[in-house]
Amino acid sequence: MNPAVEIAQAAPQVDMSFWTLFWHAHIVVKLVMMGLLAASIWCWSIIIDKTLLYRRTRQDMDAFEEVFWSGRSLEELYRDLANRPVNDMAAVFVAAMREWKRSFENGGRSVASLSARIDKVLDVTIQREAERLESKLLVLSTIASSAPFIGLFGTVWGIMTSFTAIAVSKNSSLAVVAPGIAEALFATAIGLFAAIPALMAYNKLQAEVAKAQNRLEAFADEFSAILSRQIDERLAA
Amino acid sequence: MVSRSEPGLAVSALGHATVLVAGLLAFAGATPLPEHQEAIAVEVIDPSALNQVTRGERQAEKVQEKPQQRAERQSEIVERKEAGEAKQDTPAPPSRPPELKVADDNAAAPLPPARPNLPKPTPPAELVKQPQKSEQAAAREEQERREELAKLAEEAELERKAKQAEQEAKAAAKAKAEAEAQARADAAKAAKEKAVAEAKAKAEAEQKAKIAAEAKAKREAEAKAKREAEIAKNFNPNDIAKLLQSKEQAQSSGSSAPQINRTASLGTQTGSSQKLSPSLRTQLMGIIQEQLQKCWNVPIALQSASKPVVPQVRMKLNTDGSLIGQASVTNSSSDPLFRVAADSALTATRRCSPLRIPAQFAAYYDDWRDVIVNFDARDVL
Repeated sequence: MNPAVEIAQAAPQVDMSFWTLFWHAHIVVKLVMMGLLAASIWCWSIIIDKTLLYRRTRQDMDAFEEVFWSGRSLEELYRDLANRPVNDMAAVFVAAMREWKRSFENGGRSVASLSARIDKVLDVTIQREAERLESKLLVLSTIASSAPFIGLFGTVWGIMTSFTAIAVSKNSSLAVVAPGIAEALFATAIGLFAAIPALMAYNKLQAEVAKAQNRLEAFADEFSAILSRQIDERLAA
Repeated sequence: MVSRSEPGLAVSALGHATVLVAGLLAFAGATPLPEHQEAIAVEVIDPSALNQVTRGERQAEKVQEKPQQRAERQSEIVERKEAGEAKQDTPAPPSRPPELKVADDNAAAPLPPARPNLPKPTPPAELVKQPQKSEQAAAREEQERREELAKLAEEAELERKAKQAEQEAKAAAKAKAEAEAQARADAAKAAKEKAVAEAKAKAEAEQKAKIAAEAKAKREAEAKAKREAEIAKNFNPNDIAKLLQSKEQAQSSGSSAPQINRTASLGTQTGSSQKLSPSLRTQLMGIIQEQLQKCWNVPIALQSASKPVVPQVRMKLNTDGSLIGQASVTNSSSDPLFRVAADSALTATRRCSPLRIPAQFAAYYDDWRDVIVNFDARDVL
């Protein structure tokens, strides 16, 4: 069927709901819209997940620091934590303690460079934890920067189709042109709908990750200082 | 895949579904824009109605059935003017003649008869104005005095002449008397006749002198009258006031048209006066121009002229399209080619006369009886 005729027929009825806008659009524009909608769903799922994760991480860190500085024996704490999977600060603590334990288990022969080894283990653990926190944030960044362009592509394609229809029907009245352009612009709207939250969330979550990482590093430095004091004391004894 | 720790996907999908449903419900249909209404009602006048509008006048009393333009005078050319007062320029008062200054003074005084070229006496004001030029002034005074003396001498001479005439008469009388005395001795009987003759001679001489004096007075009076008449003709100060406060009745310049129509029309309700519509006018001008261009031998120089030279030729036409009198060029230009172009254009109008005007335009003769045609060489090429 001639698209011009279709548009001309569509023109009189003023049904301009989302569904009509979507349904009358060209297949390319339809694909763009669906892709953008999927991207939006994905990006929101990441946003929700990450927000929950960071809150949980913050709470865990707070709880662990409270326990750590409460004066409990480190051995005891290690025994508590070693048996179950742990995250963030606790994971850093467990990794360092494991290295410490292993060094003293076989008669304390490998104590000389223990401090350096513990530092290495701490660094690796922090990096792993940060990676875990940071994962999927890049998706947000990508959606934020590319969704408007994808939407624009849909719009341009839709307007192109509209103009082709004008050329075929030889009728340039606004009633003929308007539905096609409205449909096309709907693609850009969806693109912006996906991109704006993605961009804002990306900036916010990125800052959260940086904060958590800083906190981990600060804890690791402090813990490393405590362990190295212990090592020196044992060597001296 | 939905886990408790990562509920993001489910929540997001649910949220999007909700938003979409909400959007579908909220934006079910586009609300049409409010009907656009003109702030001020504008009546649309279509071109044909506009072409048929006849100009009305505000002072007219009623709408006429068949509107006609008012015309006070009959003329070839249709002129549309307001019927109000005529605006006309008051002529400037004549400038004061330079010789009037002295003429006015001398008008009252008697003029010496035999001297038409009297040198002008210098006004004393000028002397006062230039006291530093005492030497010059003295010289002028001297000259003036000399002139006065000459005038006096002349007058004296004239008087003397008159006296001489009298004296001559007297001398003649005396001589006659002497002769009579001599003759008395000779003949006493002729004494009575002699006395008569003497008296006659005396009277004759007296009459002669009288005539001379009268002639002189008459000449003087005549000269004075002539002078005065001249001055009156040249300048009259009362006229200035008269010219400046013109009490002339205001005149109506009025409109002019081929037919006189004294009733003003207030326009018309069903107006359809015979008037050329713009499209018809263009068509007619095209017909006329086409014919004229066929008759026009475009001068070679004009064809290659860099600057367009376009003479405008005004033609007055009869109903049959023939020329009334001669066409005339209405514009002018300093371009040397213009004269050539204008002449060739005028020749073309003569050669083309009578123009073939289609019959459908006959009703609009008023509109094309006086046309102005542009002779543009670029249209011909």
